[in-house]
Amino acid sequence: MSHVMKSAMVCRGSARTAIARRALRFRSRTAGFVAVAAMAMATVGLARPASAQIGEMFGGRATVLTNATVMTPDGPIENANVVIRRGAIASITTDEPQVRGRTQVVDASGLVITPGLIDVHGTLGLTGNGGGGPRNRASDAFDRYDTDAIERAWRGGVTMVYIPARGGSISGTGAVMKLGSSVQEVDAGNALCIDLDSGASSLARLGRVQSIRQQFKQAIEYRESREIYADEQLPEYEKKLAEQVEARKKKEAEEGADGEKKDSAALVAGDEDLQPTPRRRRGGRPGAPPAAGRGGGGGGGGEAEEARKPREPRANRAADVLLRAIDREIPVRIVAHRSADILNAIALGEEFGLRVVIEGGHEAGLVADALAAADVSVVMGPAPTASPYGGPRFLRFDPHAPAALAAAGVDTVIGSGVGGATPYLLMNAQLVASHAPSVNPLNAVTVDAARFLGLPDHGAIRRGGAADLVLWSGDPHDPGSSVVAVMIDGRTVFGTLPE
Amino acid sequence: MSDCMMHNRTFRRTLHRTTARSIAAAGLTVAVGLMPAIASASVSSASAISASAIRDGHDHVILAPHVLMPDGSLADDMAVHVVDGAIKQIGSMKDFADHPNATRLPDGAVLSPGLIDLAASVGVRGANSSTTEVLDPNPSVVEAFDPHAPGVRAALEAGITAVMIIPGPNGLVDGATATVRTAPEDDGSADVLNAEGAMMFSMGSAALATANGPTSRAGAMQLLRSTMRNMDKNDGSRMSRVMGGDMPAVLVADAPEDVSAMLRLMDRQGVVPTIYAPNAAVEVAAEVAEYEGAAIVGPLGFRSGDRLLMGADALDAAGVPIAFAGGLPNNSPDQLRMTAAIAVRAGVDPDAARRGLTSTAARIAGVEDTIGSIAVGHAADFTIFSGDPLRMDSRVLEVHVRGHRVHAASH
Repeated sequence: MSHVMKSAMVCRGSARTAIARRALRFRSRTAGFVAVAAMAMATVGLARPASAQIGEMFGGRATVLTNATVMTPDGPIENANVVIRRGAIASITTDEPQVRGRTQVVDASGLVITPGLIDVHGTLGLTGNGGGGPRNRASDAFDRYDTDAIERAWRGGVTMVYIPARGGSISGTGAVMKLGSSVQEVDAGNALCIDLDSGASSLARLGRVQSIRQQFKQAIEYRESREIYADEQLPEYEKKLAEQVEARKKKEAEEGADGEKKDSAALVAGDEDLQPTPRRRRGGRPGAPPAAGRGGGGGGGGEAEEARKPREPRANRAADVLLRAIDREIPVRIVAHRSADILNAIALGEEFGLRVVIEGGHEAGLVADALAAADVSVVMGPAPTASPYGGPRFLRFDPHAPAALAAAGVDTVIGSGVGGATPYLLMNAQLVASHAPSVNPLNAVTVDAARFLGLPDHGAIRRGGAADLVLWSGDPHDPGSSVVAVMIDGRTVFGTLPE
Repeated sequence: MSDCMMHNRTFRRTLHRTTARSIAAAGLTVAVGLMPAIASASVSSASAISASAIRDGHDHVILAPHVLMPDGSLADDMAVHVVDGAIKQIGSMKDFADHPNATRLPDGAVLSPGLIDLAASVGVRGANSSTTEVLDPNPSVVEAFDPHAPGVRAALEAGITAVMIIPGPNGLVDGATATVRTAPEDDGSADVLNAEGAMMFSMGSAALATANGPTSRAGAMQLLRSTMRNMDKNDGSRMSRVMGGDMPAVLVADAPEDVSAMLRLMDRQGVVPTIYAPNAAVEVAAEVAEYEGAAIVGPLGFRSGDRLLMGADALDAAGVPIAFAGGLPNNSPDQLRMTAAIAVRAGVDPDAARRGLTSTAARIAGVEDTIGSIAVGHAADFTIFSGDPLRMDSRVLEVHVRGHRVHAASH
């Protein structure tokens, strides 16, 4: 080896060592960083939505929005400061905010801050209607890459949308989606969706109601069959089996070492450790096809007959969904406009004990008392006078309907309805309010909407609530005001915060 | 020639002159501002509303927290003195507070001219223009209007005190528009403000599809050109009055090329039509501004596409005066104010939008000296809103026509 090459090798060697040493230092530092990050993720991961986790990891400092008009359910607070920490609202104060070193301070003077608006009845981002059936999920049909539609929603101040399932008569489960920079499912099974409206002829509508009733009845039968299996058939079989085991044991004891019989029953019978244990765990969830076998078990034979294991009713996920509605875990949103369909929906609810919500309800004003008596809520889409057919020529659309519902004490919530009108959510609520003065349009699409969807941490600017906020250039009720910025879980997803 | 050109090109100058006159009469400086402060809380209580019942009659004064002025702004704390159904004086609230027959409106209320809906066909029974005559300047659509038809009363209760009815668009020239009040005369007959408002021209697909006339744009232009060339300008016919600048024109068109071609053709006669071309507006806005024309916008709804919204914004940005069509009776009466509100959302200046509901609309309909402005000498046609009419939660509290209350909200 030449002298040059040798020294080169030595150089390389020492260089390699130096590099190796540096690498080791880097690796250990990185490892430390990764370890800390992992721990942070672990602690943060406990109860936080994903975007808040990310917000904390890479932007974990607090943000203070100063000197703005903050809209609360009780009215505006002038010259207020909102402190946001870890994706949630830490405080609202009119005092001087405490600003620590890395806090981001935003001069929001002249701006109005509202909670992110919530659309309880939108079709944003929905593509097609997926064929229907109780297992259909609206969240699967949501196009989270429809960035145009999402941006338009932000321009209207909307941060959360409930989207319905559509298709067939029992259409599936609707979902609540949060419009962060990556859209999240807040609740994929928020409500069961039923459609009584589509279908032109009265006969078709009649058939539809019957089909829906049938499906609910079958779901109940399915649960009953699973209960019978678990509570009667299985214990009976086990009892019988135990008796047979006893009988065989006695017989064997009498016959001595005769037992070469290897049939499975004998094997099972002969080993005490293999006593059949109650299979309650497998049968835990209700769900099986309606005609589930009342098989096996106690088929009237004599003691000499072998116990036959009853067939467990198969799981039926569709019926599971219907049973959640029957157990009042989720509401049932029924699309119904004609007064006759609304009355059918009420009857359906009473027959099966459902929490019924009427979706649409153009003629709800005509049956307001029935709705109030049955404690049925109404989700309104476009105001009657905003509908494309809202003119005086079309008698079904009564501008006085919202007032009639309010007067009868029917719980009414306002969404944007079909047709991509989510950006006009607040304007629609204002239009309803012009005919029903008891409606507060901003509350209708914030705190009332959140309560209706079962989202206690959203819909109002209060301590501990999610930092879903919209900064407006002026009073959001004025059409000349525009959205300056939208924050979701404390992160700006649209627009820019002023310096 | 020169005087007809002047007539058509003084559209905006006349508007400003009217404004200046009313301001001078009022003897005060009008504060040109934007929206009033958020002040609708007190108006939502029922007692405040019933307290607004104005003691109308031969001579009364309305004390208004806000008045919608001819320039579209909202002026504060004003008083309007009405005598025999017409506006006699406009002043400040404190000057008229001691008038024996003065009533103060509730806090936040806005006294507005009655709204005017352009391009409506409400109250008209049956077809209102010929489907066989392609060049038919003579029909008067007012003869088909029934003031008791369903929908007319609904319009009144929504604050619309006058509508401009348009014939057609079935042919190249369909006849004249007419402007009528939504409240009938005392004897029940139609209260016609202008039986011959503007001549309707249409370059839409309906006009070019008739079996009796031109089926191409070139053919249509040639027909119009030769008609104008061969016309005796002084025979008193409608067409000659249009070409002589004595009768305004409204052009309905779909394609930008059609708008351009008609603007050029009519400019040779010194005529500037009002353009009603929602789909073409975004492209022709600058051109319409060059010719100093006006434009009709709407109807706009929650589902209106970007093209329509951008068109409204482009027209306003180019300085074209715009007025709104609500689409009665197919659309609800609320659609007029919704059109204005959605146009503002799309970028139209709020003052321009308020003018579009009132004074500019009156100008396009040819009734600007009678209604559409709170100005001395105008009829006392008012709508009293609970707030800025551009806010959709503002409600109609009362409607007055010729100084008499014709509607009061029940809740």
